[in-house]
Amino acid sequence: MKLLLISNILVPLFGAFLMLIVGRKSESTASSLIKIVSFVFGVSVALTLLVWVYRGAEVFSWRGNHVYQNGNYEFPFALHFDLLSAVFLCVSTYMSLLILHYSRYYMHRESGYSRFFAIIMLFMGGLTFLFEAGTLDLLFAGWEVVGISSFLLIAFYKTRATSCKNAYLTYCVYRVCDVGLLLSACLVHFLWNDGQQFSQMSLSPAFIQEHSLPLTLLGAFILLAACGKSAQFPFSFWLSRAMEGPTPSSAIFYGAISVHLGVFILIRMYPFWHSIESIVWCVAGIGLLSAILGTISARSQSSIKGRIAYDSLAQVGLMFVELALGFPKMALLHFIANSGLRCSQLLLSPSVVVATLKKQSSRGIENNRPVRWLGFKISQRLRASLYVLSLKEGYLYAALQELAQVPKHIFGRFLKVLSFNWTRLGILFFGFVAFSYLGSETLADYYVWLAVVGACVALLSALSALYENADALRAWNATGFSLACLTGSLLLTAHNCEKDCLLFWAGVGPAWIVGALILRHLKSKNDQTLMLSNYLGMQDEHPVLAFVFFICFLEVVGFPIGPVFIAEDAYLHHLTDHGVWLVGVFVVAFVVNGVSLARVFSRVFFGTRKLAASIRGATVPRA
Amino acid sequence: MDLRDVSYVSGLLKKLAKHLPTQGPLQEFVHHNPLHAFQSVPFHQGVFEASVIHGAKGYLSFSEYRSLEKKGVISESEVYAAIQRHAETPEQRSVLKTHMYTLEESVVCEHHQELREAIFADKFESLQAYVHPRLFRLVGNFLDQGISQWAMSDGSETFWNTLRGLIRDSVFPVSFLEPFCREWILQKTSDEVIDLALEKILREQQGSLSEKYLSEMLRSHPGWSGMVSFLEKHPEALLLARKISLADAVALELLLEISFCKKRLNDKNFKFLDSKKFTAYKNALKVTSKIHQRLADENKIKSVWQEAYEWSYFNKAIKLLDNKFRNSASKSIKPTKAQLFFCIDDRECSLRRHIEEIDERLETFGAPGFFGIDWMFKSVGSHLLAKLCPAPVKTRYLVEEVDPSFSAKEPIVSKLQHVATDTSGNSLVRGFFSTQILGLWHGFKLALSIFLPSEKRPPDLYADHVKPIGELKLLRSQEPSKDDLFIKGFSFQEMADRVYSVLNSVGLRDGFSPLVFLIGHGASSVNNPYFSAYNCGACSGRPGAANARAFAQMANDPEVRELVKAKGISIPQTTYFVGGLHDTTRDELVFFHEDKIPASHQESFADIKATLEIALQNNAKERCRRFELVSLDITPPKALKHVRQRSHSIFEPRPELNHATNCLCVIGSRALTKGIFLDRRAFLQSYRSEQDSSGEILSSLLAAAVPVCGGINLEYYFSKTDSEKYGSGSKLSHNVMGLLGVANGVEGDLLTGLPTQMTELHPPLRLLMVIEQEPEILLACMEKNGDLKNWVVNEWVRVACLSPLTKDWYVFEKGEPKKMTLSEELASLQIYSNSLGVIEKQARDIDPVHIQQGCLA
Repeated sequence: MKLLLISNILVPLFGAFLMLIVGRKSESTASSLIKIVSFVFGVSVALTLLVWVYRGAEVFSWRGNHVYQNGNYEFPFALHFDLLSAVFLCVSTYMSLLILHYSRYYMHRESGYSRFFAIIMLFMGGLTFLFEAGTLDLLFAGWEVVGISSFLLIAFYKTRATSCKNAYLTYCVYRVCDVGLLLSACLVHFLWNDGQQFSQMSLSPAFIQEHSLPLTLLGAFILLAACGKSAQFPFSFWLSRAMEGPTPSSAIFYGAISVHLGVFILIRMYPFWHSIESIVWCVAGIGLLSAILGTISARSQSSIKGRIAYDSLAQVGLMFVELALGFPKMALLHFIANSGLRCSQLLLSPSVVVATLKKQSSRGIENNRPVRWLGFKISQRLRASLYVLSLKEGYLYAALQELAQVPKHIFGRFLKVLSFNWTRLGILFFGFVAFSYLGSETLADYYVWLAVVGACVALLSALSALYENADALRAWNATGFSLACLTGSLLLTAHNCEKDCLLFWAGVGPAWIVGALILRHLKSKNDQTLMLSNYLGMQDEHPVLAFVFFICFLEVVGFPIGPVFIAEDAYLHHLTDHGVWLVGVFVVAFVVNGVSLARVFSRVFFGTRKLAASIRGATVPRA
Repeated sequence: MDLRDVSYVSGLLKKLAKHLPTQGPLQEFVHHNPLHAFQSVPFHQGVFEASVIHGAKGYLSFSEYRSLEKKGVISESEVYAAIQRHAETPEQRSVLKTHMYTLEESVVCEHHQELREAIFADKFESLQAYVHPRLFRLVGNFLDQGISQWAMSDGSETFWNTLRGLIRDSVFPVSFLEPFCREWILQKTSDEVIDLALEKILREQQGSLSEKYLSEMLRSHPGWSGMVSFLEKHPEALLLARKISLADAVALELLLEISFCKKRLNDKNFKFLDSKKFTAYKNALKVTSKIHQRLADENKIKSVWQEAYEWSYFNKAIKLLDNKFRNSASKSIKPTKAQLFFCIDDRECSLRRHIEEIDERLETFGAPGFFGIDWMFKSVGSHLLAKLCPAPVKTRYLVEEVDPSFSAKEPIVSKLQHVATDTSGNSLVRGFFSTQILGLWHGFKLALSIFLPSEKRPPDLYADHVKPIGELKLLRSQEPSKDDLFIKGFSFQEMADRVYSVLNSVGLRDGFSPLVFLIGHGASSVNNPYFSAYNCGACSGRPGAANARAFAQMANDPEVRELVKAKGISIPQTTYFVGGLHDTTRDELVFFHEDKIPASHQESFADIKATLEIALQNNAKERCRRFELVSLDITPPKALKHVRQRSHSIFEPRPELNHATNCLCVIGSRALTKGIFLDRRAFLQSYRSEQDSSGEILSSLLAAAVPVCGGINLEYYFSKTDSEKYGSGSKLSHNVMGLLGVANGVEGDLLTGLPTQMTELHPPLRLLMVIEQEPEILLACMEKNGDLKNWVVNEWVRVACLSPLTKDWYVFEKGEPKKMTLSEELASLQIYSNSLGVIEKQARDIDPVHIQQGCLA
């Protein structure tokens, strides 16, 4: 059973890897590779389900060796398989195999054929990992893989500025919601330190009584993560804007599977949040609000994919309500039905022209369709207001755009100062940290304050990277500096975490240096400028550098391909033991760093290459 | 408040609208030349001017031309000949040649926004990213033809008034407009707002720079500007009436821009155009003019490549036609079994060849696929009128199909089926139940349609044209009054005129066979927003089924035959006309009213049907060679099965390849092209030069064929050379906007032109019209028709004519016929016994070759 579960994860990941290497050669090679991978994956999943049912469809839980351990922190590798996993795995496999087969024809002759399938397989691997993960930490790994494959597919047409902008938007929302998941992982460590596996997390009434605050927080963080992934209030705006990639990718991500992951995690953590009444109310409230707002917004969508997006998220909102009311099985059924319907609607979305004309042909044209509310005619004023509310999609996106400007206005000047002096400041700070650290124990009182300063500087530095427009290299370095400050402040607060720091820098260090070198190289090639205000489109000329830089970026932001992922988790764990109040700052800094690096990556490599205004080459004599 | 003169605004917009795309809503998609506005200047100059204005490429790249030469597609001798034509002295020639083989593109062809970039500086991109989605959303929602459930307007008010209404009545802000902008919208007309806004942005320079500013602004989103300006001129193109003008959209955009600068930049005193920015603008202009100079130089060299490319093919085709013309002995005409009329469409070129190959006694003709009937058609149970004649033709005739037994009730099954694609009732409460009930079913159905696509004809929009239910009421029962919008039906005389003119134009005046088929064409596909482009262009993007049916009905009418006889064509009693439809995607022939065919003809009809079935299989096989994923060894019956499944496959972005590779149009007798393998690249119009000494018939043929075939050809040409700007890029991410057009994502601009999936195999060559007639007569025809003259003199189509008397070839250069000298021998003349032999194991373009040894005696 455990081998099957692992093979479910590894087959698509290995497929993605092969696709990148072998699939580039020709479409037919890629196509046969897809066939093989789908077959093996399908068989593996089918066997898993069969074995599971044969064994009585009971919860299967397995714990392997821990991947990393330091003190009382450990990162175990554990798998978990129950009805929830089975349903989601089953539906997602069904849909992804359909989409793979569909796209083999649909994507024919498209440039980026193998890239498309590599990303889809990466997505499948991430999903399976997420469904089968035995701990929240591992679930987070799958969650990240899904997020990054989403980002890559929205920006599939990487030369189009709008696609890249919306890919970045989606990535930002995902990152913000990762705050929720990261913090819940911390809380799980905090609450069940010796048994973080889902199967070991026990919940007795006494336990609830004792830990009501952390449990409430846990519920809130899980809800935050779920809202972001499932485009619920107040994040509803991103779903329709994410429909930029090829139609089948939109269908599987935003129609079938990805949008339902919020529901998945809510069911996965169901016992923990459902015992807290306030959270139950929140889930119900957010679900209902999203459902209503989604419905209103859908009414005035004039593009077909936008319409399907809002219709779909309204249904997801209802699933939240069902969960809050205590019917997880009903929500599961609802998920299956909704994913089938939306996936099919999206794939058939080009047919809408014919379908609507046909309807108009057989039923006649209805010209006058004023706004109605539950079938009642309403006053002019209310009608206009409702229409505008619908048109502006509840002002969520507009609010976000305004909000994004706030830090810039508040810290504007401060950030500018900071971004110039990062080296000096860094050296100063590190000198001080080293001095204090090596120094006597008596200075311990100051450590705490120093740590606070360090964390704040890290946060500001991360922000300055986010709003950097003039130079990509500077943004990259500011991020690195920010991470260094975080490490410094951790060393000052927590004991025995040197091993974690080493692990962290074993990943970040090389990646940071390689990334910086690449940016320097590009800068020298581009007349010594690397502006971030526009998309530079370097990918065309430097595909290899783009790929290497992408890997560096992933490593630095703590994507589960290297030690940083685990180290980041360990950092937070140590903080929960020693300085809970710093956790928030750390997490926000991690997230802001992730977002700003994604910005650097997409601005530098995506988009269309514009030649400098000067004309290159020799002049042409008149013919 | 002072009174300002704002009358200049409308003039300005009118001028700017001229260069905007003129593509209509999706269901009215008709091929046209994207550079129509430049047709008054010579082709190469027009291409350059358009690339300056649209920022799009009008030629292939140097490296593409060179690799075509390496592959032998462009022949060395043609390169030499083209150089000879373009340069006079030997020095110039050698310089030109060096450039052709060494030069690389040094500038990017893009639309320059010097003024706006100078004004908004580094905020330019974020300005566009802020303003465009808001503008597109408001305009798109206003124009929406049925995707959204809540309409912004009921069609009675203009866009500007609707906007006012929303701003006035809504408690929520429509867009974050500055207060004074809101006031302007409420109190002023759009022209006045444009004037005021321009003054605010351009300040003292308003007089001189308004045009530049507006032109840059409109062309930063050509799709929506073009759509609005098209709908302002052709409001009838919409089914749901909407009143919008370009001025409304422009005024709104200007206000959004001003609000962006004031609010989002958090800069109450944002200086729009000050002296510093003005200098920056002037400098930018200088750079641009340098770039344009470079572009002009490069284009000149590319035009030489382009001509060499074109003549490499044209000369091969002309040589072969010449060879055929000289060597074909006039054979004794055998009694024909049947005569078949097809559309002049290039997709029918191969089917006609296959039919003739199988049975020599079947004679085929080519005529525009609406068969001379200009009308609107209303099928049983439909509320919509379908225009079934070329788009520029204005018609008042309306014919209804009636069936007293038809009931308007929809069967419950089809109602349920609608839910997947239907856009209403999918939201909260109803959506909850419909999702629960239908979701699983849809998931299952999806798998079925992906793994087992059906071979049945997909239920597309025009299914009721293809499956006739009732009777056509062709005969006018009462005379119309003057204020009637439509004339219901034709009189006998009007029918006779139409029948006569088609028969006369193809030269079929006697020797009628017992059965005459009229075969229109259509294309059925699923999941394809471009379905109109696949149908018959002569029927405004609809299948020509009803036309074929109506023509047969007219020509079978004894009274009509009497009147036709009076005009000079006598149709024998024994001749019977049958209407039919060729589905070019499915390679399927449908015949209408088979049961009405007289018993005496039934046997022969069955026999011909069997022959046609084989021809369809062969045709499917010939088409399959271009589909990369289909084996080249596929047998004809399997090929037919494949193309039928293909038309029903939701995952197939290329149900068929449409007009790709078209580049020839032959107007002449079938004897000229019969037995020549033209690889589905030619439009074929039947024409008997000996029956048209006055040139009257030719004149009317050219008036239709040149704009239609030329439009198709140039749309493919430019969609290929710049697939992003003239074309619509890859089809795979398209999102249907308000049934008007497609865009990428929900925030993108409308896309015009053809997707890469339609053009990828197309070699961009201009159309060569080959006309079998004396050059003098041709010149006379052109004199009469100014539009036609523009096409030919400015070389938007190339024209070659074959003089039937002297057997000489003439090519028209700048509208003047010049005698061609053809080298005598044909290089390695290979003769194949049939078409299937030619295409064996061939996936690429095939040069014209002879088939059927009997033809070359």
